[in-house]
Amino acid sequence: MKTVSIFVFKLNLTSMKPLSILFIMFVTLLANSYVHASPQPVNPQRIVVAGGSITEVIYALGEQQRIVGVDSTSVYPAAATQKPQIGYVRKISVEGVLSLNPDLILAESDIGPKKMVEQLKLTGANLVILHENDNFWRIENKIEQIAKQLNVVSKGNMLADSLQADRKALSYILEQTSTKPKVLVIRSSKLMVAGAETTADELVTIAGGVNMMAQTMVNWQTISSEAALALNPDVIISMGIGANDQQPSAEILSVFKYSNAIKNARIYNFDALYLLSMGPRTPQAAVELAHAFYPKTRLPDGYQYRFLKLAENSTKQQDER
Amino acid sequence: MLIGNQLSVKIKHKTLLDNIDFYVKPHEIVVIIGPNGAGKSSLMKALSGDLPLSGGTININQRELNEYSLLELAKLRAVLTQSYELDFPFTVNEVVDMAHFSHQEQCTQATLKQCSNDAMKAVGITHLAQQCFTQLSGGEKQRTQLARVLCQLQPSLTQQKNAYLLIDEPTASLDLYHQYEVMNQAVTTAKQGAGVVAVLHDLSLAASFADRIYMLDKGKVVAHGSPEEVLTQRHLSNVYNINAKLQTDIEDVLPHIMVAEKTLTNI
Amino acid sequence: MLALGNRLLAQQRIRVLSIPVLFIICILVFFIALSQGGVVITLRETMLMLTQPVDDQLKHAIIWQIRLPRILLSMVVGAGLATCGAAMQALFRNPLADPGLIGIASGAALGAVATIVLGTSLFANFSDNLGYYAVPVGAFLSCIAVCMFIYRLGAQNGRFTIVSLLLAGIAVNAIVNAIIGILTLVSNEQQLRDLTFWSMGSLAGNHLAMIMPTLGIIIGCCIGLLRLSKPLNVYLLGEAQAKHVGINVTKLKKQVFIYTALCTAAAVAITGVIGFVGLIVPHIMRLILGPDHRYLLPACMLGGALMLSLADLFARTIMLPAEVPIGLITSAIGGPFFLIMLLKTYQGAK
Repeated sequence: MKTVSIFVFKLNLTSMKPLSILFIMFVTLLANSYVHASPQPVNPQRIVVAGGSITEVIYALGEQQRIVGVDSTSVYPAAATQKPQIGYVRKISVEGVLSLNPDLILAESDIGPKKMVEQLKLTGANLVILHENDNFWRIENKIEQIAKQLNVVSKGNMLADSLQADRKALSYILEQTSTKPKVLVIRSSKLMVAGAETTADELVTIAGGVNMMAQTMVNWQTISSEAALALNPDVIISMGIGANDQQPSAEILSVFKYSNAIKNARIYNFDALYLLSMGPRTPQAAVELAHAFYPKTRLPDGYQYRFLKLAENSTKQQDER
Repeated sequence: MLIGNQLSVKIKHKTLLDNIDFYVKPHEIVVIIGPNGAGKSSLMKALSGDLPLSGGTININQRELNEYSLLELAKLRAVLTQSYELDFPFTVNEVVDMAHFSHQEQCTQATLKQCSNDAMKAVGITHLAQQCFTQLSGGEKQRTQLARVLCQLQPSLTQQKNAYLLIDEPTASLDLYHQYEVMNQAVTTAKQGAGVVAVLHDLSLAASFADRIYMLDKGKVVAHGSPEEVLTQRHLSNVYNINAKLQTDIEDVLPHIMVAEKTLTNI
Repeated sequence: MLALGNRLLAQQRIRVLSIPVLFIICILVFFIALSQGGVVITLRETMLMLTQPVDDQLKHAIIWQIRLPRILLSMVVGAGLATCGAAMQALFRNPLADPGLIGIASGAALGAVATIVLGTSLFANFSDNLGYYAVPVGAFLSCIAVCMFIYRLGAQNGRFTIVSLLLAGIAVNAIVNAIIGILTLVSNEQQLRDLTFWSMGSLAGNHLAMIMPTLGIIIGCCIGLLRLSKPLNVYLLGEAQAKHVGINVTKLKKQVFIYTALCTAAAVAITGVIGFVGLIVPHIMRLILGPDHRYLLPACMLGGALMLSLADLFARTIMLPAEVPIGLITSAIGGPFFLIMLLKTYQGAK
């Protein structure tokens, strides 16, 4: 069937009924639509990344020269944004990815749409999806998996081990605490707050706070200013992406004017990617968050914040290394 | 024959037509007259099957109207309505050709095309054939629609079938010359064998061209017969509230209505 | 209403020529689109690949798995949307009507949004069984359900009037949009992004087996509509007038509604909402060919296929390796083009 030419159909157009032509074309098309999987390379040199935390890990491993394309969530470090863009992680373009001629496509579990992933697999591309790694306690595992794919296992182990310092610091802080503060996580630009089942909720709990919205709502949701007035958070975490975006808006400041958080000047700005990406920086961010909840606690001796909180300065960071 | 027996039409509690008997034979022109709101257009709509009857029956050629399919009906009678909603830029030619729809199975394309050309020639719009319908004047539009309606009847008339032409105020937006021209066309069509029913406002036109006249008032037939029998001083005074009479006796002049200087009878 | 200048006999010639010319351009665009994309494959290679087996698995996969289904889909969906637009404009006797007007598209949107948002909870079974077919199937079913509802509302006591259809459509549209709003409100961030992307429309990612039902339904409906082109012409005279000429107007309206609903449902279900094609293509074709549906409908099919496949070609190549939502392209090309046509018409009319 495969050898039958489309041109033959075209020539026959006049002599055949259109529907039967269509039918034969469809059958031919279906017969042609199969493909074999290609063998996986051992040491990939052209990597396309779909997922910001993976990009972060690869940069932290110092293997960024092997990245040939990133998705739009890969904004840290800033240098990553200079790489060719394949679009949003949940809306990738199959041919765009393939045009970069990758020997490895490394993706987070939320890569999509599903049918594109299916298509990508059908083309025989070497697609590796890191499942079940978007969890605070499995960041090391994610790093090791990525390192394995890149064939830099020992570097990966070193990076993963280095996170132990942050984990220890976090438990060191939490050991010194008693009462948990009521925390409100809010988008810096509007009255949108994090409810249950959000990464922000997970991080607040891990850092020893109580997300006061977790009882009443799920997901990120916008609340009315009146409902906001009734809240009295002890701590407000204002989140945005990038330095300018983190500053809480005037509306937020006025709505929470009478809350403990504003009265005691306990409103903290966090970069959303720093805190929530579940990359190598997240354990450090959790330490910083916990320290914001409990400012009187001490950090372990010799503990230092190593990663930058913002993408803007990251090029400098790279140079310093 | 096109016969209406005891036609009544009520919409909610309003009586539009009240027990009207009506007929039209092939080869004759019947004109329906009456003041505003008398039910002329309702009668026309009832006869063309657009208005559901609350009483009475309509027969065309010995069969009841409801027994005909729309396609069969389209071959037996053509209707020219008062208003048109067409605002897509069809050419005059295309509008007239739309009449072919019910005949395309029986007649060849060439025959139908000939019908269109004849009809356009008859109402004098051949020179407009390629013009855009939406850009015509009111009178030109009216004549275009008339040509379409004539074209629809033509195949049946050629085959000597009894067909009917229902025209609702065909002269409404025409100048004097074209008013008479259109009525002459109705006469020609009647001569070809059609039964013509026309609603007219102009009583002089009615008197000049009608074989019979139905005078309607408040949904009832007030008078029926030849123009002389219907357009009497008494009827005109009762129905129209005007002081007028029909003059038929001047040589070389068509009948016309003479209206007295003291027009309104109730002053 | 777009008025036209006096049309000359030349128009008859344009009509006769336009359809074969459009057809040839369609075939050319088909092959050009097939050979263009992120991965460089020459036209020669493309032709070879279509006719005989090749060793290069990647290129073979790109042509047969990615580009061919996509181009076929874009052409057929474009043809369907444009034809439905033209049919709706005839049905409403208004050159600005499109299937969105009476809630057909929002019916599909409701199904898609419901499947995306509730696919993990309420409709878990449905979503699990159908996999990535879930959203198109959900959208199609809900669109048909909403259309049946509108149809029932419009067809009260044996009549099927345009006014009741329009009012029912507008009311149902409002209700459906309210439900979509509620679903959007309870969605999480991921779902929200998914449904935003869905509503922007995309032709990507569908393999051949997946698009077959869509192609079948759309082509069937288009043929159905083409067969109605003569009665549709007469219908434009007015309902009473069309009836006097021998057309069963109620049946005609119902047929047009059903074909349009099915066709739009099949198209929107798989691609999401792609605006402008249904409005602009019939308009342009009417400007060139006049309102006669015997020419207008086939020209709209070809013109729609052409417009959407070209727009999609732009969408997947201008920002390589990323992709632009197709809806943006149709509006970005369509809008200005439409404006130019309008201005020219008015200047011509002066």
